[in-house]
Amino acid sequence: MTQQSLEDARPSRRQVLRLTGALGVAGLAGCTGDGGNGGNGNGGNGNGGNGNGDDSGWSETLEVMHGWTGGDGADAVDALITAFEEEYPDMDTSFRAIGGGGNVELDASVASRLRDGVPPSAFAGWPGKNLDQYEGVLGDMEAEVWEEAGLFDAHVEEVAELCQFDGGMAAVPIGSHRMNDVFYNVEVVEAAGVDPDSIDSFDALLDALAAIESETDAQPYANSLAPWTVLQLWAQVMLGGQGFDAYMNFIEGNGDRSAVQESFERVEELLDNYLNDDAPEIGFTEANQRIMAGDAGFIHQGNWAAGAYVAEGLEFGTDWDRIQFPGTENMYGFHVDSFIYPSDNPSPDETHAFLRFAGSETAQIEFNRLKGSIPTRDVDTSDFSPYLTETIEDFQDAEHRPPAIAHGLAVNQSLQADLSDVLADTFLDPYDVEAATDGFMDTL
Amino acid sequence: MKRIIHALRTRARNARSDGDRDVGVDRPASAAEALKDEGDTDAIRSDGGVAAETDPTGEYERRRLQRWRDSDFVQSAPFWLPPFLLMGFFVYAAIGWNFLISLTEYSGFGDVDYSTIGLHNYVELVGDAGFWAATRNTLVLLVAFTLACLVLGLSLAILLDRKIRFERTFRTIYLLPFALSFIVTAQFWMWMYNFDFGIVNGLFGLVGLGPYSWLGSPRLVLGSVIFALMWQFSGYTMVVYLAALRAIPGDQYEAARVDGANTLKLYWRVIIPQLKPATVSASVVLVLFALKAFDFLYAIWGFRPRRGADILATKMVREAFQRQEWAYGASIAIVLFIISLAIIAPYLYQQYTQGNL
Amino acid sequence: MSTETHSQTDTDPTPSWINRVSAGDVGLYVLLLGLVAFYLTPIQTGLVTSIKTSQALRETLPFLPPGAAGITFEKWQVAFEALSTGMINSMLFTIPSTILCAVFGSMAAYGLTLANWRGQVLVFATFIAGIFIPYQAVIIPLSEFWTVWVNLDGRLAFLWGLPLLAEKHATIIELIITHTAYGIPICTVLFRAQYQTMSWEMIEAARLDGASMWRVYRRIVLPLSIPMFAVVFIFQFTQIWNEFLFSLTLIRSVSDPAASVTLILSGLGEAMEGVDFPLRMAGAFVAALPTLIVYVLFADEFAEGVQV
Repeated sequence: MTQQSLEDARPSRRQVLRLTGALGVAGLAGCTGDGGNGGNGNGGNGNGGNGNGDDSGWSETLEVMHGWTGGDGADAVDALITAFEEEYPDMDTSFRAIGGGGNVELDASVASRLRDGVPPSAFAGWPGKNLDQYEGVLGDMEAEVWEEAGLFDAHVEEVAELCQFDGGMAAVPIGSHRMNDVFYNVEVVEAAGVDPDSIDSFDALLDALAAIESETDAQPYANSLAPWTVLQLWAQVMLGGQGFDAYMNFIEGNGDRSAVQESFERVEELLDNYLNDDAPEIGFTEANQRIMAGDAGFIHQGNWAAGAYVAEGLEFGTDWDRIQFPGTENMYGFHVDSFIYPSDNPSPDETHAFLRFAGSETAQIEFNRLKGSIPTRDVDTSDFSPYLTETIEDFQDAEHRPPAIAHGLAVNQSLQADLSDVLADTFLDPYDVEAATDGFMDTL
Repeated sequence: MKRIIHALRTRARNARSDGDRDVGVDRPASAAEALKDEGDTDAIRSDGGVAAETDPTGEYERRRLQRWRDSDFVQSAPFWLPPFLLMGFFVYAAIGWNFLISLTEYSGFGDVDYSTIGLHNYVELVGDAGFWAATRNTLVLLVAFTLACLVLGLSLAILLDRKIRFERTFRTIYLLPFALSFIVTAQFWMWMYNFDFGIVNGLFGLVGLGPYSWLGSPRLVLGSVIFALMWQFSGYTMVVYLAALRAIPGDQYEAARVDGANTLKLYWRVIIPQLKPATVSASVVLVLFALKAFDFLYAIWGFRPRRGADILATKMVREAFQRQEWAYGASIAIVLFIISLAIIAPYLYQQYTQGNL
Repeated sequence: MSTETHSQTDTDPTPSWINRVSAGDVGLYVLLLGLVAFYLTPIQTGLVTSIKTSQALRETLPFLPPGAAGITFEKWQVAFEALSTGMINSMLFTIPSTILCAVFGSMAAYGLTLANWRGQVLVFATFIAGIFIPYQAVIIPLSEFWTVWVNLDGRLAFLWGLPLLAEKHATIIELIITHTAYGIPICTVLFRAQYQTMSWEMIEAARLDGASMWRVYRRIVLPLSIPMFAVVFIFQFTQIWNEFLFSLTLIRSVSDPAASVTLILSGLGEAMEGVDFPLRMAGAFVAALPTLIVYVLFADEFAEGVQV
């Protein structure tokens, strides 16, 4: 175990970390009223990892950093923590929720911890190419977690591939959001006389938007014009219009120029004609509010958008509904949240236990049913809402599960940022299709 | 008053150099040498060694050491040297270090590798369209913002310089935004510019225009930012101009009036030309504030401002602290530094030749 | 710099000024009041917005106060809770570094003004240039220096067990030193401007009497500097309190226990429901409160500090 020897070489870091952990726990205890972790677990101090199978001998504090600070994310992670602590009552834990803002805060905190050489036990983040940025600071827990807990068999093959890094396993999936849903307000769409089930092509979608525009006062399509929302829309247009292979070729760097360009043309047609005027200034949550209020018809988002509908008490099927992005009916637009495992881990045994748990059926049900996402493994769906049950079925049956381009899976963080920059610099109103196409082709 | 002091100081200085001539020793020829000598007794000894040939008794050397100890340079060193070293390390050494980093390939979480060094980041900059867009926006911001602040600030100063009641209250109000943090003023302006509820669109709506996406449209966004910054900084130029106006002797106004000049002519011909030094120093400060407009942009958009509002300062921080492209970010920082140097150096030189330092 | 030089405007104030008001004067005051509106509107709008309920926000004009039903102080409470640790943190580094800057600045200005040696102008020029450095040019080495080289929280780990001390104080110390270093140039320039107007004769006389530099500083210069210290304190306090870039790059995270008030404010009110403007406005006022108080009480000193 190289992990262990690395650790021993750096006692000072461990010491610092233990203190950090202790502080974190103190903070957490203050919040939850859960005391009683004063000095327990001190008996095993100093001989960190040799009591491997002995569950009661946890000596280090598990410190997990994540970004689920509010709303359904916070409820989901609370449920996960509760379930974990029931299973491991003797372990000192510190789950730290950090900031919001689309994980900018979390990423910054994690980055600075990793840079300082004091990593947490695990942190939430996207697997896939997103792991590239952590080159040199990720550990491998294939044997201790993936094999021991049988995660390879339980989870779909794609997710195991995404969690792989440098020949080992560096992450464990906790849930997946679907990227190829288009949500709509049932009332608005009905008022416009549109039958959503008949929308089987991009042009049909544009027709539906045109009908909303002419028949109702509502905004046909609401969204934010933040680069990442346009990037994820573009990806679905590409998948739907050009097919799975064209998309995969593009992300692998062999993109077909005309396919890219055609996708941009379609995105332009949609946004230029049907998007709200204040899109550059608002976030997607605000746009989503308009769907709920009946001020707008359609929105394309990852299915975290559905969490807000549920929270508002809106009824699936009668208040809001969704269609698959036209052309992607046999696909599940794949997004994954995971817990990532840093090397030089402050608490290898505790972290392994936590990650084994995170991949388990219990954890995946507890977390996802509240988060509005779905497990990436086979589970009993009885606890899930009708919408999520439907999503799980689609997930299991999907022919393709294309990795998300705007959420770390398909391209690394640097390329993803470059693509966003291309959009921001050339495409986001005024829409320069030619320049945007050049930019995308040059980037990948 | 100032002139008297200056005369006194010159006299004192002459007295000293007379004394020097008596003993016949040259003082260190440059500041650099003076700095080198500081605390470095070896330098003195070797220097003195030469002197000893003409003065073999060593008496001279002892006297020279004594004189050196008593010199203002040594005596004043405990006062200015510690702050100088602290500032020098954090400012100048850091800039040098930054330059060194800009030559490496440092990115991600590893350590800096100084062994492979080259100008590749600068080459990459030249080919980066985003860099040129940011440079263009930076220059537009510098020029437009500085001019707007100078014009508005001068107007305010002239208005306040006219036997005004409550002058102090007016001045305090006009300068108030300058006391606030960029992060605070950005909140106010986001609300002012809000598409649906903002006052700015409300005003335009009164005359049947708009609504406009002030912070969303690439064509408007830089202008909107410049206007908000002008609101924040024109009070500063006002204060500088007010001080300069007060320094102009009153009889010049009288004389011009006797000549029959009207108010506009009076200011244009007589007063404004005299404000040149104030204009220069205010411009320098404004330009450098504009280079730091980062805070304001970050508060509104985070790391990535809206297209059309990305400036070098925001791009630098984004490359380094969001994308972990440390070396690339460092090279943008050097470009920023060179731009500011191009403004400070002539200013300092001018101040130096005019004896204002 | 010498504001003392006098002005043509200061004729004796006439109590009967109203009698002399002409049409032109009316125009002037209308213009001045219009400008007051221009400078205060964003702030005033923020203030009324901060006490609006979300319904009142949508239904009333942005610059008008809400009706009684539309008033809520909840946002102020939320903002205060969110920003209170940031306020404490900001105080913890702002006050010490303000004092240190002023002391160092005064010392440096004295050493570079009231003593005579060649090259002091050059040294002084490096101080002036130091004011104008864009901080972007130093933040990468700075974060490298503090996080990788110095690693204060690791080195001072033995302290964090003590009462009242916590790991975040390492970051606070880093910020104190950083702000002091970058504040020295402006303070030096401000003090030097004053010291150049001091009576050289008195100081020469004292030195001819054999007084040491230190004695001259303590006995003559320092007492005469007290008004300038007030100026520098007020100016530096607002500058450091308002600073953001160092907070962003050295503290990094809004949720860091050492997060400063500006850093927390930058992320405030970004809720799932979109941007919460009333909360942001309330937060802006809470964060600006200390500087506003200082500014209103000491506007003259602040104005003087501005005129570098």
